[in-house]
Amino acid sequence: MKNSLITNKIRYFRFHKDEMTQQQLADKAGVTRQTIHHIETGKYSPSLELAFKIAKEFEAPLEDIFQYNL
Amino acid sequence: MSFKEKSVLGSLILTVIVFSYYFIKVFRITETSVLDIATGTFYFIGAVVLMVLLDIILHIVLTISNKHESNQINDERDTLIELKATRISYYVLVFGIFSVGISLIFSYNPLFLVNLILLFFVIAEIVGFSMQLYFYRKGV
Repeated sequence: MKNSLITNKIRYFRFHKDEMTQQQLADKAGVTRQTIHHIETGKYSPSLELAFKIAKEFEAPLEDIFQYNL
Repeated sequence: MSFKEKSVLGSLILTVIVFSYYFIKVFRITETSVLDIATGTFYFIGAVVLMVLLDIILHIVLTISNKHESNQINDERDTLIELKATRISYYVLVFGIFSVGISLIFSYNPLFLVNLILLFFVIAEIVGFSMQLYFYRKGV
């Protein structure tokens, strides 16, 4: 499965939020740890709703966390 | 490997084992003699009951060994994987049903046709489980 055109900085934001674990972020966003892992590695593009939940958790604008690369 | 993957892999293995045994048994009978409805129904119900029981035991064992993960509900990625896998297995099932329809031109043995439909249904299930595992591993 090819990686999507959407990249993200979730790993970076997790690190700067007291080294938040994937499981902690997953619990707050209401998804599994595997889903967060697959988003981070570009194997899964989250829905708009999940993307907003993640952005809200990091208190950052959506476009700071997710980028679309043509 | 996550709880979901283990669950799908377990169901895949059980489906392959139980229904391989069922089809080998049924088609061997049809080779040597005529399969009557009572025997065919007995083997079919036996296979389904065995499948359900083994699936329940498998999931009890998985739940005990993965207490934290087993409480998780399906998230959007799980749902998407299930939908994509179901779509692919649907194509397999449709192909199978058409094949059975065409085979009616050449022969008409109701019990054989029922088992042929069941065979394609099981193949579709196996393809569905396999595709779920593929999407869990490679991404969706």
